[in-house]
Amino acid sequence: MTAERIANAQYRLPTLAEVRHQLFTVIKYALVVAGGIGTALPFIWMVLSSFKTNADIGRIPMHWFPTEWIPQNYAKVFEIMPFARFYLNSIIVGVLTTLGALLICSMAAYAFARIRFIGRDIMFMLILATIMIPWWVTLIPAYLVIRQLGWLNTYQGLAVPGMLNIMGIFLLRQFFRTIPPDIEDAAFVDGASRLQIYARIVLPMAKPALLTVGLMTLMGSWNSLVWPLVISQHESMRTLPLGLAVLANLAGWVRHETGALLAATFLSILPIVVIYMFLQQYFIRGLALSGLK
Amino acid sequence: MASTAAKSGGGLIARFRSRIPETTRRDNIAGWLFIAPVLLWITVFTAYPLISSLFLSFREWDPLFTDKYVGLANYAELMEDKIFLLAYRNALVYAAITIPLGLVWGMSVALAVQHIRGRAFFRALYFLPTVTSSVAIAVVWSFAYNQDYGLVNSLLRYVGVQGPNWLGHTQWALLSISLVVVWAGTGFWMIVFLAGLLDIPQEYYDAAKVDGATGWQSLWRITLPLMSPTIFYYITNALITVWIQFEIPFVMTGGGPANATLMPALLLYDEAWDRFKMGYASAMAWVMALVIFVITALHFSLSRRWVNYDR
Repeated sequence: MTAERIANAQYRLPTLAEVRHQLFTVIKYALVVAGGIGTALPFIWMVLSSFKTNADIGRIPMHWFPTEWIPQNYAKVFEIMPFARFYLNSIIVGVLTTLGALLICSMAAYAFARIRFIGRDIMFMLILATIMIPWWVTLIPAYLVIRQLGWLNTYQGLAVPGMLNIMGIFLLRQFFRTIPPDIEDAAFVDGASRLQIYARIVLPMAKPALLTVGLMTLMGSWNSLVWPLVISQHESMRTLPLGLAVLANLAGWVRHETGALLAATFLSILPIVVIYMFLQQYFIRGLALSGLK
Repeated sequence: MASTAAKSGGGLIARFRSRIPETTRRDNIAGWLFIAPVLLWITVFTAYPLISSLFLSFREWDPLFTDKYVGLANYAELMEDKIFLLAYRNALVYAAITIPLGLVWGMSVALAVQHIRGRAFFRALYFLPTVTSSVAIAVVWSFAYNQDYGLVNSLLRYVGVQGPNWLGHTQWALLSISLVVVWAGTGFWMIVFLAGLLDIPQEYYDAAKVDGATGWQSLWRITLPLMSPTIFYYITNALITVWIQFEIPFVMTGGGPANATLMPALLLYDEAWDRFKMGYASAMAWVMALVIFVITALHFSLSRRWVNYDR
C-alpha cells in the first residue's frame, strides 16, 4: 500500500540540469540583492547618521539607528556654512544653464536636422568632434576668458560656458529627424517662417527629448565641482558641491561635525534624487543614449 | 562703357543667383543663423582655449607677473618631474583596478539582473549613484572609510576583522578610492550592458540549447562575443576617464597621504590654481591629451582583432 503510493506519486529526483538551473537562479538573486544592499547602504547610513549626535556616530560598535533621533544637525548645517546661499546659487546656476542649453542646442539641432545649408554636414562633424577634446586642456584658457570678461564670481561666469551641451545637440537632432516633414511643409505653404516653425511646431512636439536633455544639463550643472572651483573664489558664490568639498577638505572643528556634514550632503542631493524618482526613464534614457553611439 | 560693364556684372550676379533657387538661399542664411549661438560658444569656450592652451604650454606664464617664451622647456621639465611621473604611476594603478573590476562587476550584475523579478527596482537602485554628485559620494565615503566609526570597518567588525585606516594609509588609500569609483559607476554601466544584452536575438540561445550547450558555454560563445562592441565602448570610455579623474580624490584625500592618491588632473589643478604656474599646467594638459590620444588610437587599432560587429 505505502510502496504503491510512493510509486504512484509524481515525485522524482530533479535532473542535473534542473539543479544547475535552480542554483544559477539562486546565485543571480544573491548577487543582485547583495549588490543592491551595497549600493543602498552608504545612502541609508548617511541619512541615519545625520539624525545622530556626533558622540552617537562615534560609538563602537556601530548602532544602525540613532539612540535618540535629533534634528539639530539640520539646523547646524546653516551655522557652519552659508548653506541657504549655496543652495540658492546652485538653483540659479542650474536653471540658467539648463534654459540656455535648451535654447542654443535645440536651435542648432533643428538646423542640423531640417535645414539644408552649405557646410552643414562638415559643421556638424566638427561640432561633434569637440567632444573628444579632454576638457582639462581648455580649462585654463576658458578660466582666463571668464576672468577677462570680468565674470569671476558671477552667475553668468558659472552658467554660460555650461550651456554648450554637444551631446544634447546630437540627441535633439536625432529626435527632430523623426518628426514627419509633412507637418513643416504644410506650415511652409501657409507662409510660416523658419523661426515660427521651430518655435511653434517643432519645439512643442519635442517635449520628451527636451526634458531628457534638460535633465542631463541640470544634473551636470547641479553636480559639477571643477568649474565652480575655479570661477567662485568668494564664499558667497559657492555652489553646493563646492561648498561641501571645501568644508570636507577643511581641517579643524568643522571636519568633526560629521552629523552636520552628512545632513548637508543629504540635503544637497535631495532635489536631484527626488526628480530622478519621478522622471527615472528620462534620466536613464538620456544617460544611456549619450553612452551609446 | 562703364554702364555696360556694370550692367554685365549685374547680369552675371543675377545669372549666378538665378541658378540657386530662392528657398535654398534663404535656407543657407537660416541654417547658419540657427547654429550661430553654438558656434559662438564653441569659438569662445572650446576653439580659442584649445589654441591658447597650446601657446601657453610653451611659455612660463602666470596671470599677473610672468610671461616668457620658453619653448619646450615646460615639457622637458615635466619629464623629470618626479611628482608628475608619480601621478601617472598612480593613475596606472588606479586603471588596473577600476577598469577590469568595473567591467566584470557591471557585466555580472547586468547578466544577473536581466531575467529576475524586480528588475526595474534594482535597475533604479543601482543607478542612484549616477545621479548623485561625485562630491556627495566622496563626502559620504570619506566618513564611511573612517577607521573607528566608519561604515566599512563597522561591517568588517561583524565578521571579526579590524579594518585598516583606509584613506590614511599609503598602502590602502588608492585602492579605497578606486573601489568608490567602481561602486559609483556600476549602475550606469549596468544600464549600458543591459541595452547590449537586449540586442542579442533570443534565437541564438535557443539554437545553442538545442545543440546541448550549457549556460556557461552560451555566455562565452554567444553573449560575450556579441557584447564586444559594448565592451569596446566601456574600455574606450574608461581609458579616457582614468586620466581626468578629479572629484573623488580631491574631496576624499586631496592626493594624500604622501601623494599616494595624487592624480594627473589633481596635480594640474594645483599647479594652475595653487601655484599659478599656468604655462607649466598647460603643458601638463597637453601631455594628458597626448596620452589619451595615443592610448585611444592604440585601443582602436587593436579592437579589429576582437570586436565583432556582425550580428
